[in-house]
Amino acid sequence: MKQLFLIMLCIFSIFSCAENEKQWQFVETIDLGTITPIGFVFQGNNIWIADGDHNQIVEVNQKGKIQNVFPNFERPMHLDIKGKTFFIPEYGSDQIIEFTNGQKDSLEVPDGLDAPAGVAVYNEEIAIADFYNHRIVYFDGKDWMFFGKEGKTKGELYYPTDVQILSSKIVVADAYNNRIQVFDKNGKSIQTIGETEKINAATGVFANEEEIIVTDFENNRVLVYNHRGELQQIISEKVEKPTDILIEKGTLYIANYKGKNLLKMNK
Amino acid sequence: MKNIFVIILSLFLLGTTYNINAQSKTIDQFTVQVDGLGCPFCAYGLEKKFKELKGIKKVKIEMETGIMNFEYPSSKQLSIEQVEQQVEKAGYTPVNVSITRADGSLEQTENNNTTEIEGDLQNIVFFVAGNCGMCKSRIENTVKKMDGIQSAEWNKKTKQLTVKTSSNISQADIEKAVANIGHDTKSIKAKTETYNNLPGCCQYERGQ
Repeated sequence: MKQLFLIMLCIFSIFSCAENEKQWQFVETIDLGTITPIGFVFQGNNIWIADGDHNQIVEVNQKGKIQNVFPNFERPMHLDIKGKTFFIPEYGSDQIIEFTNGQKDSLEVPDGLDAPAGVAVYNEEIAIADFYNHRIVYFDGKDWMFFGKEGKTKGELYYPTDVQILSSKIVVADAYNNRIQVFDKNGKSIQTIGETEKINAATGVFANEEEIIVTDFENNRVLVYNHRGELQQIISEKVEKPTDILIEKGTLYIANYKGKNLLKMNK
Repeated sequence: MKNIFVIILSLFLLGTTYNINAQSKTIDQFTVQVDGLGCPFCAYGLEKKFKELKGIKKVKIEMETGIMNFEYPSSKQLSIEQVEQQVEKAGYTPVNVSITRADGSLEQTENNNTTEIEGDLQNIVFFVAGNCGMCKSRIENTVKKMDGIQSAEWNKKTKQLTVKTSSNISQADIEKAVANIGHDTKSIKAKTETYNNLPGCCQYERGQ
């Protein structure tokens, strides 16, 4: 009987450890000095940060040491990268700037934007979170389309701030509906996530084929979901007004707007 | 030589001072309290809408308190109503606007705050639901506008509202006032519609 108990205990311990391994664990903080990160991407080992408060893009290394500063961006937000080109939404000028080797071009978008807060690129596809128009502007590689309108029901958006394109869907930080909303590539809303967690401003979103992760700005949390919308983890340790998240080479990075730093987490 | 240098320096300083004075006489200073600023996206959005006003300078927004300061040429006589309209255009609610005109005169949003309190003052302390700095500003401003209120302070951590008032106003009256703007108390619940219209950051967790 005692042996049976010990065997059961061992099995339980093994499963517990396996479960723990799936959770993100804090590794270190990358201090950013005075930089207020809104969005960020990786190019090689360096991190390119949209410093919203200071109207600049800053390239830092993994220690947070500044490598380059690119001034004169009007409130840059959740940026993305494709090859050598950065796609930088300028919230203040209603443009998406294509920034390549120090040269700026403006992406031509039909119908105009009002405060673009996030952009995502995926192969030839582009999606833009059009904040004040409460919609997503999406280029499928051939044509532009618009989906979402101001409102709180499924399919409607209320101040979207970030967007991510996956192989078959588009994931939106539906900021002031306090949820994530997932659309298919025809613009049909197929899922809402996070409504039971009482998110207070879903400011940034990241998704890969395994997880959908959202920043919960006012509650100082990052919430990790699977694609069924089931909550997997709540990260709150050292999180201070988070605005963006990203998984790069198996490491989760969290941008702390108020903390002026990036948190690194591993599984 | 030294004397010439001193004279030139004095003239330069005099000129600079004159310029600064002359400039300040052509600029109006604005302070606007805004309800609903929760995050940098909101703050930048408010700034964006105000930058549509040509000639605006030194726009500064504090997210925590919802206070925006800016300068504007006095020749354009930007009014309180125009400022309020611009705040609403940005999607937020103006709470208070204060303008210090270039000539030193002060204009501000009217409120019904009484300065003279008759009778003995009493302290009223009770629970008011809320979340953030915006809630604090909304609750306190609403109560301060009521007759007979000397001060109102809401504690974000304890959720306790402390009101100093004359004896002719009841706790029930104050509770009704804060419920009317979307904040529950222990005895009065705000209307669901009003609660739903609060900015996202202010939608506190509600009891059943």
